[in-house]
Amino acid sequence: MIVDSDTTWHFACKLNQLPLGGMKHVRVFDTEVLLVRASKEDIVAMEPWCPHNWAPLVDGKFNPGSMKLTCCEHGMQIDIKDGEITRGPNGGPAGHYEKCFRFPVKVERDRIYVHLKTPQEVDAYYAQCGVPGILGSDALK
Amino acid sequence: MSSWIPLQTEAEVLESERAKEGFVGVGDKGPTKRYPHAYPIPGPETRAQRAWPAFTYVPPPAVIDMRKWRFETYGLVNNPLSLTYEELKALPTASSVEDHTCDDQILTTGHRFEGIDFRTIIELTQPDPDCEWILFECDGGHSVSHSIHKRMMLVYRRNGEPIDPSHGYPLRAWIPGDWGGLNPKWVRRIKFCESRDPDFYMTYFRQHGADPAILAAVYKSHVGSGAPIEAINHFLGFFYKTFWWDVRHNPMGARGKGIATGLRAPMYIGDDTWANYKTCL
Repeated sequence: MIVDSDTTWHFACKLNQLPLGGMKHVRVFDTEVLLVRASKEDIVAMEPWCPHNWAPLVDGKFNPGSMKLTCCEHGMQIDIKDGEITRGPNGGPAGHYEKCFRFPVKVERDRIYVHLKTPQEVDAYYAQCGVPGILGSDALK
Repeated sequence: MSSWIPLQTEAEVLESERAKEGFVGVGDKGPTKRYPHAYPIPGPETRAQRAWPAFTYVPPPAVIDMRKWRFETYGLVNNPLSLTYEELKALPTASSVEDHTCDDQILTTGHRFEGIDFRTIIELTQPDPDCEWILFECDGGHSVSHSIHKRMMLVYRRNGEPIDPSHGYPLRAWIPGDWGGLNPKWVRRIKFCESRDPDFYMTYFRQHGADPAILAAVYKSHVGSGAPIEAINHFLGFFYKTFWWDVRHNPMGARGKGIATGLRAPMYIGDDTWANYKTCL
């Protein structure tokens, strides 16, 4: 739940607390975020739970070479470059999973900041999705 | 930084801490501190020691894996900690006899909490000098934010025994003078924040429509620091209506209502300290 905030960039953690190829489950303002350090400059912040069964991704394995994160519970592979699911659970096909959400990240001096949506941006996103109506009315859109 | 999340300066926090120092008397269980309450508690139920009731605002974590349990500090620190339970117990200890007030209605006296003074943690982690706020993150998704200048203690032993699972084994925090709910149980991580991060209480009540001005007033209040009684009553009235089916002052009141009446505690993997724990509820 997003609480009203004046800024959109919220402090996550310090740069030296995230080693190369490491992952950290961090709380940013009111949201939990997984920080992945793919290389010295690239830091990716994404939803910390697997889209399959919500296993915590911080317990999984991250391969910095291929930029793929493997879930510890069922072995789902997530490509952190864009959040796509490359391999499904238990070695099956990727299926119809949505892309994992990634938060914008910026690094200032030695601190990592993550962008969280303001309530206005959240409303704008839901406005563009459309409102589900009664059966059949969606076809009129 | 949010527009309504209340912030206090270090001077205000230290002043309210000083106001909380009650008289120091000696009871039959040893030196006791009593904290003056903001308003006379209508008939405080003083419970016997062994019947210290355990309530939680969020359901407790179902399982805690003690093999992977680590106490971590991160954020604006120069030396982030990652300690196992054994390493935590090896740190210099402090102990204190305290009264615990739950929800301002239930008072249990004379718990001897032993643990680590928070100043030890601060010396070890070396937070940045401009860091003013801490967020305790607990297993189960609960979180509490406090000022770094408050007097705090991380507790792992009570009356010589490790704390009960329903009271926060392996680690709980004790922040004297505040309502029982602001003392987090099952503490896992501490974040040293740039500004006050919203904790469970701020997000939960705000999302259910609580007035931010009242919430801010209540957050500024400490037990004994003279908060306006109307603010507290408004908060408690709103709070009780929201949680009426969750929180019971009488543990037996949960019977037959579809709420957990048994163990309000997690199961532990890899730890046999409380393998045979049973509650009487």
